[in-house]
Amino acid sequence: MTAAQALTQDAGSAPGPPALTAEHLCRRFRGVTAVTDVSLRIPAGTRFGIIGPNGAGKTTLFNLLSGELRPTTGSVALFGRDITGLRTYRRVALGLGRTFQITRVFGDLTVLENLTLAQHGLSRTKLSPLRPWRTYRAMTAAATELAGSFGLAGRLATPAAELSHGEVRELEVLLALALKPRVLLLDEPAAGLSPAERVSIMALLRSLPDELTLVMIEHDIDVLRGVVDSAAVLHLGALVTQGSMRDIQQDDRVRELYLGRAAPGGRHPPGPEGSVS
Amino acid sequence: MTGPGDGPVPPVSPGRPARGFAGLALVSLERSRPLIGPVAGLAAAVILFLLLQGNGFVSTLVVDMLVYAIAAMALDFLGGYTGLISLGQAGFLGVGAYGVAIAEVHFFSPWAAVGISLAVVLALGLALGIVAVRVKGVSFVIITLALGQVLWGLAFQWVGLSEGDNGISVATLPTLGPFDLNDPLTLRMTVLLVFWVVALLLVLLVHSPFGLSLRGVRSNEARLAALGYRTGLHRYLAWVITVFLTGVAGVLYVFVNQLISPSTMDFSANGLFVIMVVLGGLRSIWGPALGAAVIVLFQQELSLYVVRWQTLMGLTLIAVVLFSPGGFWGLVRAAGRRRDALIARLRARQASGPAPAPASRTPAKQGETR
Amino acid sequence: MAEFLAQTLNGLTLAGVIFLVSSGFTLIFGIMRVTNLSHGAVYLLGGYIGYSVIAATHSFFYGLIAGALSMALFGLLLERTLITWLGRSEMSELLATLGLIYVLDDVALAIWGGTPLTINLPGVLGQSSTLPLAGIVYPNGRLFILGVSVIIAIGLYYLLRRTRVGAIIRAGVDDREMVGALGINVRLVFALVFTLGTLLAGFAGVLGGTVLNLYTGADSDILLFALAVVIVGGLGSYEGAILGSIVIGLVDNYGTAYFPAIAYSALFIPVILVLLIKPQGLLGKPIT
Repeated sequence: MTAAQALTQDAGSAPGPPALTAEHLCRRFRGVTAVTDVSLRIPAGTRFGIIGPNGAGKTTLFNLLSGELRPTTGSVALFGRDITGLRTYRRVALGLGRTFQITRVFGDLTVLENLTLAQHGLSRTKLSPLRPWRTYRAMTAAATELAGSFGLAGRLATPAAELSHGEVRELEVLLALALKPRVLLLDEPAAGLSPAERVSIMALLRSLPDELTLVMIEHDIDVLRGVVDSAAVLHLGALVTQGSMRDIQQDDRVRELYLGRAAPGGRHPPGPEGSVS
Repeated sequence: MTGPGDGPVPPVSPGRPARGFAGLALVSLERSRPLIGPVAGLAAAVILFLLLQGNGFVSTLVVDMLVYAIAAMALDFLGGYTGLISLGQAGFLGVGAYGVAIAEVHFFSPWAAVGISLAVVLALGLALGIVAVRVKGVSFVIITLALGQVLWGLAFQWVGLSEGDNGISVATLPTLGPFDLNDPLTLRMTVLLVFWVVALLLVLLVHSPFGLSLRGVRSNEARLAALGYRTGLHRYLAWVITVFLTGVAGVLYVFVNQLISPSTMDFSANGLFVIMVVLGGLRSIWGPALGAAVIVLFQQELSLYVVRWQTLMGLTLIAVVLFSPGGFWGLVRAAGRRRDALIARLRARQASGPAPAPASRTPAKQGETR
Repeated sequence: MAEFLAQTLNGLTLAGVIFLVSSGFTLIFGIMRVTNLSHGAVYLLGGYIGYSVIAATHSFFYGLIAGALSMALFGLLLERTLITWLGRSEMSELLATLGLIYVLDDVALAIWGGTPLTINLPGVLGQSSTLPLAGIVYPNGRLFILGVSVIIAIGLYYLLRRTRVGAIIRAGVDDREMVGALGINVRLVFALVFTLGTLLAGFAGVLGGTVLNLYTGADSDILLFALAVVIVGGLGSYEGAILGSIVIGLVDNYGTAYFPAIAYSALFIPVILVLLIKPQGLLGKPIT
């Protein structure tokens, strides 16, 4: 364990088990190894970033954490509880939320319907067959409030397919938030957004409650710096380093990845172009 | 002025009277908006009731329409709302019908036959559902097509049970106290009642959280799963409900027609149900019922005048898919949207026009009348 | 034993005809994501046309050509019009081709009527011969169908696996957008594949007309077989179509021969088994 790692662990780590741990995660697809021996320990309440060039395996790692994929070897634990064998919906029930890089909202449903679906997600009422969903006042009120607190109040009756790109991203995050997660995985929330929309989404992310642990894939170092305390760097499926943002930016190996050579001090490695990983 | 559950169309501000012909149009459009649904529904209820009274061919036609409408509406629940279009509906209708027929052949009383048939349909739905929900989209269509064909094949070849191509006739219908379904009028009224009950049930289902979840399944199933839903279970339940309701239609079918034969379940019949739903309008409660009415008309009336009515029907489906994928109900909805847009435009013009000066008018009027 | 061998050959013959229909269907789906439900009607129509040409020219050979080419032309026309107009919506294409079935069936009924028709094989093909080794007497016609199917299967395999065109087709099955991005005229490939598919189906119709007969409803029957094949073998997989055809052909034939009461449903057993164990088909790709 490097000093940087120890630092990340002590600073801001609440008592109790870490929010999310990955132990020697490995995922192979028919001869291609997408993720190799990745171990992470993310303390509760931290804002953690996952960065790396295209093809580094970041989204695959997320898929392993959230349950879309099973690891070939290794394990995942949520607040100390092993969730490796659990399907996605079980992990959701335990407090693990996630957004997707290619936004997946319910296009032909209105914003209110989108959020209402999310509200019912953790409740038995989602199978309720006869009572109109609009009459579940608490749920629809919570959905409306969620939309309101993040600027989508005026768009409640709009089908999601008609929202602007930035609004869709916000809805994406709101859907995940509606489930009251304890850990939220965000897959490139700022990808493809205009500078103004980027500011907006960063404000949203920064305004999230402190108890919520955030794990974020991002290319844009500026977005990361504004939101994230520490990060892990992935390359070709393997962990290169992890630590505080400052340590990472000064790490020679990270510099080499992004710039091709170790640069003199004071320069930040720019994020690579393109947003598909 | 606007009813509960209506979209965001705020009424004309009360302080300002509507002006001129445009104003009149605006007020009448707005006032009529919440009434159209209930009035149309009431009119339909009355018309249907009246049409079923006589003993002529009209009432026979209408009762056929109602039976098919039940199956079509059930199909839309699975196909339109959940996104799983089934080409095997006629198969389950056949099972419901054959269940009653075979039970009666084996000397069960009519009510027992109904019970047995529905139990069989339910069991079949529960069992086949496990297999059917393992696939989606086009694969699902294919599976259900195969299922429907196999059920037809069983009816055709398992002669010992189904009497093959001859079919089975059913003579005795159930009696419930004073209501004897052997009386044609009572039977038709019963069919009408079941139709309304099923329609009401589907309305409730569609607007419930469960119904919302099914729309979510169709819209983006992966996302729904990420929200904590067991989407496979939801699809399974939608399947079972649809199969069961189709079986109910089958029971009514065999009572109305007093005969069931394999041709009711063949490929063409399966396709017809899908055509009914698409023609009438996917994802609407009443569209499929309308579609059923149209197809029954094609089948029973048009066929008398146009020998190649099947070609016409096929071409109609192709035309609908090409030009109006929302079917007939889609056109109704589009008209509703245009009306709402017109209301908004009229309102905007009312709001921005010159302010009326009521004070200056009255004296002139008084002057005129004097 | 001889009886069993004869039934096996019958099953394989059926498999041959089914293969010709289902391979086209699966390739069309694989590369174009089009579910052409009218594929069975194409088979029947090709058979009917072949029948008429044979009746007029007394040449089985001409009949085969006519069945194949007429349906190839039909396929090209269909692809260039309806399929193109419908764009990429899978459900729309499925529904439109469903409507097409009614049109084609009705037209066929109008022209050829409802009585089942049989195509007779000329000369040597109409006779039987004694098979060496097995010692049974078996109709040459069926052997002919079997032989032709095997040759075409091998030929298609060669086309798909060894030629550039085949590589493009296989790449298109995997990733349509990429193929387009590589500068290949995707629309041409689509038209080619669709035409090839309907050609095979029309050809199969004439062959099928000899052993299976041509009748109203033959299109639904063959469509069911083809669908069972793609479920078992995997939608979009050529090798799956070969494997699936053999399984379905044999199962159906054995079923009809040894368990007549449930024969039609016998082919359901492999379908259910595959759905339970590997829903995407034995050689299919996982459903994304």
